[in-house]
Amino acid sequence: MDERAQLAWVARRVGFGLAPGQLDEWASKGVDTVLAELTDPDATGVAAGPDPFAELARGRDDGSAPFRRAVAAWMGSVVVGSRPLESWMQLFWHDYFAVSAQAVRLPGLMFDHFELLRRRGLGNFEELLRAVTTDGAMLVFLDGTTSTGHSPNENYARELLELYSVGLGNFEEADVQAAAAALTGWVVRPRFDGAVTFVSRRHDDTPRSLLGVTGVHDVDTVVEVVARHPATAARVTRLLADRILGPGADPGVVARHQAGFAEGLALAPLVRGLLEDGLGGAATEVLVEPIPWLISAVRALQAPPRGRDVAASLRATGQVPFLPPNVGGFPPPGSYLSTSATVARFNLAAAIAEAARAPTPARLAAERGDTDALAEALGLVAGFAPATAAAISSLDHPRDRLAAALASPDLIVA
Amino acid sequence: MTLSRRRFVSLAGAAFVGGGLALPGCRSGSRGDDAAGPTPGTAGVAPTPGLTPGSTAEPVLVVVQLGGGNDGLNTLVPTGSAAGRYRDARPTLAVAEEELVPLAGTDEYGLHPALAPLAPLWDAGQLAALQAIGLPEQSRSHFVALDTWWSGAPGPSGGGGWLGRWLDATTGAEPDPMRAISLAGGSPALLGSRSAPIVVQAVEGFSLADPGGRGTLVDAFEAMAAPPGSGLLAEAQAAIPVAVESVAELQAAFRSGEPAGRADAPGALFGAVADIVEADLGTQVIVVNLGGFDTHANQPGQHRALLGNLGAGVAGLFERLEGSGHASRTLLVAYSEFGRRVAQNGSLGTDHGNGGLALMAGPGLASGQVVGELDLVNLDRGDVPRTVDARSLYANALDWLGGPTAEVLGGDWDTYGLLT
Repeated sequence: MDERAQLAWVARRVGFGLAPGQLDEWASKGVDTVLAELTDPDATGVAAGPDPFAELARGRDDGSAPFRRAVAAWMGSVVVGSRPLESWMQLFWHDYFAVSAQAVRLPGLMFDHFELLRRRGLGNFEELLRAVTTDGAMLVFLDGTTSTGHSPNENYARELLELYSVGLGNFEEADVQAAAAALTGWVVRPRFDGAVTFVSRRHDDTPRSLLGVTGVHDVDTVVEVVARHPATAARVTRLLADRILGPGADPGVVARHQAGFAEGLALAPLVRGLLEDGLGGAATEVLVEPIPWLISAVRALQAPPRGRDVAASLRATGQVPFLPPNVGGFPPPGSYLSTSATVARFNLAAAIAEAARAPTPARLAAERGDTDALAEALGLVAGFAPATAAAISSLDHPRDRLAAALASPDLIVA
Repeated sequence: MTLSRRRFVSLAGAAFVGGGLALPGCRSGSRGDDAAGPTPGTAGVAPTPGLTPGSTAEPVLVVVQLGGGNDGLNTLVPTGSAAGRYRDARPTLAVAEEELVPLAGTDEYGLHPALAPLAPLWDAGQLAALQAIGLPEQSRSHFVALDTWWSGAPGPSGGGGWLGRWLDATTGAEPDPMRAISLAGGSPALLGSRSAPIVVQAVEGFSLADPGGRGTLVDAFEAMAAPPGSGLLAEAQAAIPVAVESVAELQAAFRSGEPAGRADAPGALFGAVADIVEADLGTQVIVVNLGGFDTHANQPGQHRALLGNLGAGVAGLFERLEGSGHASRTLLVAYSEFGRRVAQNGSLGTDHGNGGLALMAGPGLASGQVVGELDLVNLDRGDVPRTVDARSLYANALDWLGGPTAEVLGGDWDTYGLLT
């Protein structure tokens, strides 16, 4: 890969595609600088955007309107933001922790949760897990707020072990019960903007054994034990490698990263290392899921889709921010090749093409009928597949050419 | 050239809230003469005067997946020998006895009041329950349990889903994707080595845009599928013609149904099932995903709403199919990945358990009956011990479809005489 191809690969895989002019800007900086800015935006002085939820009502609402507005606000902030990897990691953790607004009725809690995933998503995994464990949205979502020492609720403890740390096969039912007891006492106060407080009389402080470690009795000891278990580092690394290097990546490469990550659970170096290996040839194909695909298309065209069918179309893909379908997160990438997701992609592509007004390189290329330039503007530096290029060229209307390019199968494979 | 954040928020916000402009028209469901012509199974068969209108076509199986682990004990509530232990374990969560819907012919159980719409089906001998059902090694993990139920075999699935294996075993040389449709999400139960279902996430929006009424974009979309590329591109290409054709077939069917508010609402889902059955498109298996049954906290109100959706949906479905003459070829089964803990927890809810409850409905049932023993004396780590294997439910479902049941399930399972 030449440097432009490398940068386009990074953008399509972990960066929500390319805004107009971005590839030139990145090429002038070079790969090393771009990776440093992506993985450590604070240290490299990349400006953080404003809080996308600042203007939205935080209180309880009878309908889902605040969440729908929040979806648009969050996606809009990613479109114009300059920290794409931070947002990509935020979405990764949203899939990982999969808190749903359908269960967390208080919008403010959901906004705080999302902000937590953004702020800590490239930091230290143990700190992230500690913060999520007593996060208000999570305490509501998996019932920590109603769990008491007298009668612990197992919901969060089970998913902590099965989904958020060591994974199946590495714990017993007794570990679920020990963790559930030790995590009791954390309460969300809906009438105080969802403030989280620790109520010691609701807490069972009895020291217990968790994953073979004795003396576990509270949130800090639980998180320390599960986060530092070797299976946790292995699991997090594998899930990130599946997304960044692809599910077909060399297990030896992944194992090397697992060992490195287990040292201090620092996420930014892990992500950077995976990206460097990907650029070095270790990557295999991945499918681009609906949310990143939609944001990429909107960024390239600088055109938010319009129309009342957009909400339905995004729902039809099966991937709506704030609404993962269950505690396991969004469906696996392959499910977005379904009938519904394919139909939804086509409809959204048509809506974005209709809304495209700005003279972006993609739109100008579509007007000229220049499929190679159109492909590059969408991040496909090697061009479209022959069938796609021919199909686009067969269309007379520039908006149809643009819509066809956005809907193309080429754009959902990275 | 950059779009301001505010502008995006205002435009897209309007769109997501639903107040924006409509898209420029949608392409009609009928693409050419194919979709308007006779469909297989009814070709050349005129309705016979004096007989029930409807189809002479193949049997249909509707599978309702109650995602999250439905609380079987509060769905079909013990009123007989097990009632005392049930009420002891659930001092504030047990369904009040006077609220229960009695089931004629049995003193052992009553239905949760939200399932009252199903009582007429029971009285007509068209509702049955399989009590304490499950699979070996299904586990208290949602994901292991779901995987086990999807595959219909204990341990990790390797051979696809139980319905996928049936589709593989009975499909012709060219698999017809219309044979299996999954609503409100996909279903790994339908995955076979040669079969993939059509997935309709929401009925609303299941149409292809036709910007400017030019009518050329869909053709170009389909043209991208050939010649095939390789790897994931080939898979993404192959999905296109299936999507375009299934929209053409299903869109007209969905339009014929009742207008139905939010498209993934349960009522609309069961309406879509009726649409598909009545349209007679060669569809034999329809999976409906109903989620939200993971009631760890504040269970009573949630469970009442969930069961209300189920009861109204199933009753409404059969009412409609009776009217259109399609009920007699339809069997519905509903199940969940596990039951819940016998004792309530401290959050007025229940944690993950073991033995659960399955329901069967349809005119093909022999009688209204409950099979399987509910043992609340010898609990399995606090859970209902399984007394009925889930493959007994599957065997009934596959027998209904005409088999080959033993081949798909890897052996013979007791069907308890549930079907006529």
